[in-house]
Amino acid sequence: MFGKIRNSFQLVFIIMIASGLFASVNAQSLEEIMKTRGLSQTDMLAAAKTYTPSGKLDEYVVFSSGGQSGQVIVYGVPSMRILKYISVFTPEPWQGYGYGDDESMDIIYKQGSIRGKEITWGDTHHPALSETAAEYDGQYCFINDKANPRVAVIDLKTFSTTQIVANPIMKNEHGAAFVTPNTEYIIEASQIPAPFTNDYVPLTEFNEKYRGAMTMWKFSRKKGKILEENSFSVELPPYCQDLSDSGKNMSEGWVFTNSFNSERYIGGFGPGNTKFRDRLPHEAGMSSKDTDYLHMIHLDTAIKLFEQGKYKKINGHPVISMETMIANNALFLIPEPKSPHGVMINPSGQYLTVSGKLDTHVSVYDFKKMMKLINAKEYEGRDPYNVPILSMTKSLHGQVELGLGPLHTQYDSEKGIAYTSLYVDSAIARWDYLKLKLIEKIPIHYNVGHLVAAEGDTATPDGKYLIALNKLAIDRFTQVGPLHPQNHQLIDISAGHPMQLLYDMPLPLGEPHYAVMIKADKLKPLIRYKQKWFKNRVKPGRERIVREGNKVTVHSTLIRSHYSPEIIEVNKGDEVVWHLTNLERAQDETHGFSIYLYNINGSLEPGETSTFRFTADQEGVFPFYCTEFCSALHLEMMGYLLVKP
Amino acid sequence: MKIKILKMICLPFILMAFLCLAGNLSAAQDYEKDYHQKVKQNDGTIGIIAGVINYVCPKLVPGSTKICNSEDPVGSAVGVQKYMEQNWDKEEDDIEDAKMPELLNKKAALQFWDAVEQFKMHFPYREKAKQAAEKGDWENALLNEEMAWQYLVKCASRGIFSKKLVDGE
Repeated sequence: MFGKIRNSFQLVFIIMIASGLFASVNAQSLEEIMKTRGLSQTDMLAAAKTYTPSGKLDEYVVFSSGGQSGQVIVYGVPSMRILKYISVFTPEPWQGYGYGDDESMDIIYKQGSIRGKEITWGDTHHPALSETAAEYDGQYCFINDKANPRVAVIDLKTFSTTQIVANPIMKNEHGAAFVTPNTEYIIEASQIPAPFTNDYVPLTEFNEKYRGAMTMWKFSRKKGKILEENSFSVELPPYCQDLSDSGKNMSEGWVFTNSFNSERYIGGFGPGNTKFRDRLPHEAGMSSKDTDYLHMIHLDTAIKLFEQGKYKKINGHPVISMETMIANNALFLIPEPKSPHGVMINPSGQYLTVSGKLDTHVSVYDFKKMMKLINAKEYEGRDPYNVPILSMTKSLHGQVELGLGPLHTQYDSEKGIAYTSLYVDSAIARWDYLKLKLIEKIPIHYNVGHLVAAEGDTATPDGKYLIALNKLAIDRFTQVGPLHPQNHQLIDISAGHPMQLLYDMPLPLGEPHYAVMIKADKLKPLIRYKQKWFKNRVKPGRERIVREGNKVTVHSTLIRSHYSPEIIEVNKGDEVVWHLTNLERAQDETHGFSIYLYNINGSLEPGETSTFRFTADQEGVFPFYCTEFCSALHLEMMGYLLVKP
Repeated sequence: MKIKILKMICLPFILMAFLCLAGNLSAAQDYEKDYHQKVKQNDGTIGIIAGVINYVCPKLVPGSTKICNSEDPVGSAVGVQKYMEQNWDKEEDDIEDAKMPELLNKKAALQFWDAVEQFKMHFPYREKAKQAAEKGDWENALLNEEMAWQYLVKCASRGIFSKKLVDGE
């Protein structure tokens, strides 16, 4: 009896200790971690909202410009895990972009060249996703290059660049890329005015011969390409056009862009060698007026004028003059607070928000009021180029004081709610653009430029998440030299509670300028290429080497873990054309192709065929190998190119 | 609990298989001896692959298909592949795009499908190895047996991937 009691007592005691230990281990570990790492309950909540366990996928995907890297950065939300760098204007070896294969060499070095010059970088600014009925459809992404005006098409089936078009008349741009609600056109607006022609024009002729422009790139969804022959530009005054947006719903058919330096001020600061020497800098004269001009362009009329041939060709590109646009009631200006950055159309298409960086207000324009003035031909004047000017006060729904340096606005799923970045304040404002009142502000770190909300510029924004794209991280990350990473800060904007800062993501790859956020389930990328898509496809069993004179064509295949053929012998001076097909049907079985000395590095994704061309101009032994760890026998995936004297 | 026990049983085998695959690094070029060793190694590896097939197969296709037969693992593997391919237009579509009958774990089945592809590739090399051995061409016998082994390695690699997926690891 006593033994039984003793045994029961022991059992209870062991259970008590075990459960106590178990509980204390769990409780202690969490508390200890919080204590050791100095984490608060709020931090833990933020962690819980963003932590994405291994194997779980993100709800949203962000396409962010890669700034001076010339790329596009893709990452998931809420995890903020980087998923891909899409090479666009800059060669990128891992993806074999610009290192020898015909397709990417053509895109970067041929399509991307301007006036015969190869340009191997870009200043990517504004990605835009293709839309159907003003909703992201997940098919294409477009991105611009501010430095050398170009627009690129990224096919979201493969997440790779398929086309670059160079703007024939612009020398600098900014307001791109923006799409019309069904992606019929991709909009590109210039920034620093310059002559459309490529000849020398002195700055003394600035007002007469320097111009701004907006290019309407016609996009064929069927071909997945911009049709340059169906594209045209509209001439604009030599102000610095800034950011653009396409109308939607009630404002569909119109395109908007704002501007700075409507003063047309030319600086010259410093002891230069022209008559402009010692003038005050551009920054002094470009913001001396209180207002600049919001531009309204009637795209539908411009398309008709283009179709009617009412344009002149400059550098082989059709340009509709301001005079023609004005005569056809297709171009108007409205004063806006000076030095703005962005005109953003709300989901219904009725309201346009414009923020002057040097004003504390955000101005909300009412499209209905603007159209009433246009229809009544009620202008308050004309600019020096005879462009009709609408009254700002009569166009406004109202203004709201949000803080210092308002910049860019995105919309929420809740009617009337918008978010605006405040550059000088280093904050995000949540406000109501219908009731014209500020709701709350949240500090960010630091100096936010653009911001992006989930599907925040579509006809039906999602709310939920917002990311502040901050410029000066200063103390947010471990110091890595004088140049800090950029800081993308994720903010919870779910309805019903104040905004909460969740996560800091450092981005050390150029200055990511602008971003768009799409529901992940709208993206339907390919798992692999279909071999039959490639005209140079090499079928298994048909590998061969063919010599015609001094041209040697190699038809190769790749599969875990060998090339076929593995040894190729040519003569010095031979022109080598090398087709390679990755025969893999397995997911993600990518193989590389790198040859010593020839600056070649291909990335052949499953099913893909690439063609490399080079002259075997040096005799010797040139090993080639697979640069991907494709299997356990990866190192054995190698071969020799032998070049005989 | 059953799954855990099975995992505990299978894991050492997988490790053994891997060691078995990676272990034979003899530098001596006694081709005949090496060939016979390699044949044993490949037979052993196939035996372990068979164990993985028997473990994974019932977790990929419904029992009603009666495809999985532990007495004939190779037949089971090929059966699973045929079952998946029954509506597949090879010229038009990738295997993932094919309209497939009911699968218990499609992700794992696709990995398994590729493992079977790799496995099938080893047969012609073993046949060539045998033919070379019959002629006393031990170097080519060994090389072909080695090539067969490469495909068994690739098969094992994808097979383990498939097993991880069915186990939810």
